[in-house]
Amino acid sequence: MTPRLVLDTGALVALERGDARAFQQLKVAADRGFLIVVPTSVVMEALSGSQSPQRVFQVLKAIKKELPLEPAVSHEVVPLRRKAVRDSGIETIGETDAIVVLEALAVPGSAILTDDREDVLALIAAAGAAGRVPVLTVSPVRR
Amino acid sequence: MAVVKRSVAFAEDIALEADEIAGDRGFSRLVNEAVEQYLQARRINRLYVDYVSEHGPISAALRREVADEWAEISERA
Repeated sequence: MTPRLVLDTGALVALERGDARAFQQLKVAADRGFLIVVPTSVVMEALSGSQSPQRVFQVLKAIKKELPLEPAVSHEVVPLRRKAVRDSGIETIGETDAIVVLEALAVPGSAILTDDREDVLALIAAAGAAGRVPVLTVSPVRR
Repeated sequence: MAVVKRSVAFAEDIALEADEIAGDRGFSRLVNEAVEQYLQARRINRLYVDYVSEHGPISAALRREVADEWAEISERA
């Protein structure tokens, strides 16, 4: 399968706000043959705090690849998040970040674009996949 | 999802190599994935061009930072 670049909520919000680093990451991923994907829960979170929903929709129209939440992923979210919080001590790790990590792990060679590298790395480690999923960054997003 | 059929002619060497890669997943799925990524890349590039038109070019320093992040991925792969 085509390797994915999975966007987390921070990455989508960064694109909404016109973050240059986020746009550069997107372009490099597309040029390198990655399929850029956005889980539906990421879309919901980004829209819930959106300053400009039209911008979010403009980005989503270009990406045109939203991933519905499948049982194979949803059943793993809570245990993965719990383990990541327990192992890392980072209480802010969210269910949506766990979905992002699980979607990246579903296709070998995939990567993650995030504004919160620490949370994502903790989830990857909790999944027993430390070092297997590259984590790329956008500029930090203030929400 | 609805599907449509298209008759496509391939150069023999390309078809044989694609058959090998497709394996049990099937030729149609391989072609679908490849075309999907190609079309998305075109849309992303248009989005990027629009962004640069609106905000100005992305600095060389930032482009280098991003390139460095991706280079780490390539080294690990």
